[in-house]
Amino acid sequence: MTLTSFLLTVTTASIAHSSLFMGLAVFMPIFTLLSQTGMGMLLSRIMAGRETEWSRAMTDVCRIVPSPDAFKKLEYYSSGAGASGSIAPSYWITSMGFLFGFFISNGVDTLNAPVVAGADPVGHEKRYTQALHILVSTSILFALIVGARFYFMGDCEGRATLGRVVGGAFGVLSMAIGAGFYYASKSCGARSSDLFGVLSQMLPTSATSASPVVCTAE
Amino acid sequence: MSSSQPNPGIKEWIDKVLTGAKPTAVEFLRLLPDGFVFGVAFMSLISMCKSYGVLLFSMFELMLIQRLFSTFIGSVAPTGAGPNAAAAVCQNGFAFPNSLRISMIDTIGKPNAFPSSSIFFLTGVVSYIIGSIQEFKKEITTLGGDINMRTTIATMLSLFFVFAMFIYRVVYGCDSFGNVLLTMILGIVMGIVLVHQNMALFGRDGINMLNLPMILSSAELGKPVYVCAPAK
Repeated sequence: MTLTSFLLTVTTASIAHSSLFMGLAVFMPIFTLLSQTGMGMLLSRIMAGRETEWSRAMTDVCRIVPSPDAFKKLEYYSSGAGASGSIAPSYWITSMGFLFGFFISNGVDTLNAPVVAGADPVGHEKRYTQALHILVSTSILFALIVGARFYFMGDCEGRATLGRVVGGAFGVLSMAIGAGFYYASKSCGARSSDLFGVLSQMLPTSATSASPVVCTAE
Repeated sequence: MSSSQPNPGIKEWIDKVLTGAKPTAVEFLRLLPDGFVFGVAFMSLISMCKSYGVLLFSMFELMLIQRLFSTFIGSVAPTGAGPNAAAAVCQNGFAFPNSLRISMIDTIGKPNAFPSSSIFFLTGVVSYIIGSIQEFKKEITTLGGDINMRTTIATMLSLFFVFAMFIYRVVYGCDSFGNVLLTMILGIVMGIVLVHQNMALFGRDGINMLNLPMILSSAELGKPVYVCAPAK
């Protein structure tokens, strides 16, 4: 989605896509790094010598961007693998949280957009159905992806329960950041902040009113 | 430690950021065409937006067109790949540590040939989106304001992006200078051809990339404006 948002920012100058791109490519990596540094400093003091409880596995499958060194040595993912652990949360969970926080906020905002008096009821019904579809499909997809990640690749988020809980908590926090980014981009105008193009296709009421009757002067 | 020396913790942190930036940038370039296909597929599935679905269809068409061109031209005069075409930065798609690579654009299309698969795809997509925006000039002019400004910014950014891709492919030796230049021209032409094809196949709303409300005349809507004239 980072790449898609980048190319759609370039080609359509969309504020929604530029916010999403800036969030995923710039803000979230810095946020993740700061979170890992902070959690590392905190947990290494209060839980010294128990690193396995709050660290996560670092096999090649767990990395989004493989390191150049990894190309010389093959490491397969196996549960509990990875002697050296990095600190929770992972960039994967924070970026997924951010992405779905943005999407869900966009869906909720579309669903709650006020109906203008005299607006076409068919158009309103269409918008409502589309917004509901976006919300339901996004939520199901998010639950499936995160569920699969924690079930099949749980060690990438934390080698023990505490690491996974920390990862999950930062995932929820990232959703709030994603929502914040959406509302920040919305302040630039609802029409240009809509990622799915539902609100932007709404016609002004004046355009949907009955045809005018023009009379010439006698 | 003197106060003028940077804190080792902060220095280590900055080094970590800079060390991580280079492989990320390389990965970004490698995944750009394939990532865009998957991103648009994801967006069209979630939003059920017609213009995204039509764009996805056109992207597959671009890959097939590239394969057709390269097969035909390659059988006459095999040419195209640059001196450094096998380098990691020039290879599209997701790479595994054992050097296995998965790339849709290089599977449906043909890598290391004329026209260059990634440049043809990217210029085709950029040209398609800019071309489709231009088809909505009437709406953009009517809506005015930020939409008008957006189209100008989008055109400028697209030109800059295409130029940056040109420089990157030539400087890293991924493709030869002539290959990139001719591929870009071909990609731009095919993008515009696809805009007209999709307009004919799916209608104007199929290429509505900005999701603008379409302006239709009263006659097109079947609601003519009545003029009351005095009886003769």
